Amino acid sequence: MKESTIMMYMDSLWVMVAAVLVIGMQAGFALLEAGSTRMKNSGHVAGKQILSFALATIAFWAAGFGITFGEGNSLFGTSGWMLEGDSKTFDALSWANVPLSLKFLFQLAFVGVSLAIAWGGFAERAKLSVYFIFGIVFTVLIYPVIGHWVWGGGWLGEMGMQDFAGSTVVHLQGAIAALVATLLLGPRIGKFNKDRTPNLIPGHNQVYTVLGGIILWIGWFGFNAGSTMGTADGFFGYVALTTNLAAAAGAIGAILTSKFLTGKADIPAMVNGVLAALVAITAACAFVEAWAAIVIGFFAGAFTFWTSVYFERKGVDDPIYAFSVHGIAGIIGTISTGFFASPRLVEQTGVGKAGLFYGGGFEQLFVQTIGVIGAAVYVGVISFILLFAMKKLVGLRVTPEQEISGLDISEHGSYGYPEHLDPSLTSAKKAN
Amino acid sequence: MNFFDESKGKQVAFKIHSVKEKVQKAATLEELRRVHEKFISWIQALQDSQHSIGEIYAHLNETHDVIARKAVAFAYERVIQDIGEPEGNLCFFSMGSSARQEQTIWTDQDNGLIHDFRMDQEKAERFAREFSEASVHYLSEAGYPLCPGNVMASNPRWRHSESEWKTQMAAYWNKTSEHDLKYLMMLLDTRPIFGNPGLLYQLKSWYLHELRQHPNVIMKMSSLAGSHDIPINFAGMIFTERWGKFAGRFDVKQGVFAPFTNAVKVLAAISNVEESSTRARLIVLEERGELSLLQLEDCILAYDFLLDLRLCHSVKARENDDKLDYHILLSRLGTKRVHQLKDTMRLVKWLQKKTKKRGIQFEQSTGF
Repeated sequence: MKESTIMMYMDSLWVMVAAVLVIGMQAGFALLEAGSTRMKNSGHVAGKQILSFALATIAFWAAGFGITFGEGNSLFGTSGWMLEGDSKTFDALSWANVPLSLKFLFQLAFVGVSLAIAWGGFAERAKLSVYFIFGIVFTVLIYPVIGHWVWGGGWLGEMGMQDFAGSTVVHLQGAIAALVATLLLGPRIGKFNKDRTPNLIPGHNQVYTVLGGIILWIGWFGFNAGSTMGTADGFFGYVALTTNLAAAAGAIGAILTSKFLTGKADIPAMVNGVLAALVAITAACAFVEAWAAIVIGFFAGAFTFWTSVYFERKGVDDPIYAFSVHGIAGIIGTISTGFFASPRLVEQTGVGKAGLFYGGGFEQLFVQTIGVIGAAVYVGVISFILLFAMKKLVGLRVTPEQEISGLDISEHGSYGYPEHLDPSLTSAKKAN
Repeated sequence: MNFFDESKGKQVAFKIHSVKEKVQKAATLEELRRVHEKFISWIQALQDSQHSIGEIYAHLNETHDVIARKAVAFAYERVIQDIGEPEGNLCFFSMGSSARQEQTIWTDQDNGLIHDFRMDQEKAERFAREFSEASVHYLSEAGYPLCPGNVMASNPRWRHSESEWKTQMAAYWNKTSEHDLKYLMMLLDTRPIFGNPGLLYQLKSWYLHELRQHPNVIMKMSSLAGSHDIPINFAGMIFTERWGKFAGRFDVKQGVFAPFTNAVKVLAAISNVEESSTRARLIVLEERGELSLLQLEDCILAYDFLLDLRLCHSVKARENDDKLDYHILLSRLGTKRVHQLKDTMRLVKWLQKKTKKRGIQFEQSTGF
């Protein structure tokens, strides 16, 4: 058997494992989001992960993958619908020595994550129909365009933007959509008092939140290390190392910051710190040295705790802090390579230039900044147009009565925790 | 003092005299309430004058005492008209901030009753109950809101005969749950308002004596007094409320004032100090060598600062007709006062540590 054939088998197996790990992150999001929201919405919040991934799968297969990686212009792909095409159609992914089906599966897992992040901004008050419409449009018209700009042969990729596994492409996009949604939907009933002071609406199960965080952390090895899409030089191991170091530093950074700023070492804040660090290192994992990964992770974990408190005080009700954890951390991670990208790793990956701290000047920093602004503006504008139109035409939000009774019962007809919430069962329980 | 200050001083003195005279002359609850409602104007005048914060509180609490005494006396007269005079003595006493003479303009009630009635138990209980309920009601009519925690003589927990109080207290220090310790700590702050003060003083002396025979209780009290987190970090950042209607504000009462007075209270109990006001306790603690002169000065400065902060906030809340609470916006304090607050909070942390340490030392020294 030829060495190249063996390598193809190895790479395929690795990409398959990585894809499954990233798809497994849906379970992490289900637990994280359900745990961070109220009991009366838990079934809805967890269940919509399956709906979301199902919508993304069909839409990305039909059109999204073609727009992202299909042959086209510098703004979007114009071929490769339903994975059809010739040998040149998906040239942007030709560097990966694995079958197209696996390339699709792996990239689909990323869209699924981006969409899951966006839903954070919709939590506990959006209509189910909104998930259908926005989920499909996000998968076809929003995510693929930015994906094409950076990874599909588009203008940002041409400029040498460093976003190894998607701090901008996956996380910032999802977060911007979440922010637009949360602003258009408005705060949950009871979140703010008349004088705009915020109330605590605690999640119903902190253990779920922690478990969700751990599942996501594990999944991130597929996300970042899997983005090498190959095993040849064992570089995926290095990417896994920087990923893990950053996550660890993020947990410590967030819990220390929480203790420093509020006097309490908040557990959900620590989980969000891990996630923020993972988001930040996602762009940088293949470009920065191990020590820099710790710095980036620590800073992302610490800073996003502060931003989550800040946005809440400013009247933004982001139920699971999606914008801070994925948006702010996505920006931090993307910009970080402009400072920390080491010449050794830049040479190895062959993308962009060394960062400011290694004498690379401001060039890479500039490219990274342009990438962040470009992606944020595009996603922000399209999401706003779409969601604003939906708000006017069909409405985004459930009625106050439905919101108060909970989305489990109002949208799905049954409770996630019937024994606790269903009046017929709670009264029967008392009678027993 | 220039002519203007002198003239202003005379005006303030006149106002104080006039308010006290009105209270003395008040013949009905309605009149008492009217004087109480006008406290704000003469307190503002006092604040603008050259009176120290200690003097302002002294005037204020003296006047509160007279109002309370008169309201309770009205209640007593009504009850004896209804059911006749009791055989024996009673003492209606204040607790909490009133006992420590730290009342601001408009504060909740905290009170209790002790008696040594020598009559049929049922009659004794009836008199004690009706008198307590009437007193609490009259105080409420005079402008002292009911205590949300129900620490009032109308609650049977805070109304006993002398022997019942002793049994009750013994039960507290035998169980020493967190609630029991809190009750015991509350009972360190008592001051007679109406009736025979000797009853309360005897109980207090007995209590302090017995408490010192239970060093494990003192140790637990000191641990409780020292365990309340002071919301400031090592870099001097003050933690404000994160959520709720007071988000962004600092709780002066729970964040610094209560921990301060609690630490002083327990330290005083360890040193067998019978005084009930925080200022007097601090002075005696210095006399007994528990605090150095320098530490006493620091404590008095901090205490005056906190009293001033509470009073200013209370005046402002009254002006705006807000419900009284002690949550303040640090941004409105000004840099100098924020620095003073930080220094005070650090001092309270030190006091808490000292109290905890003295509690442990006391337990060890008694060899239990």
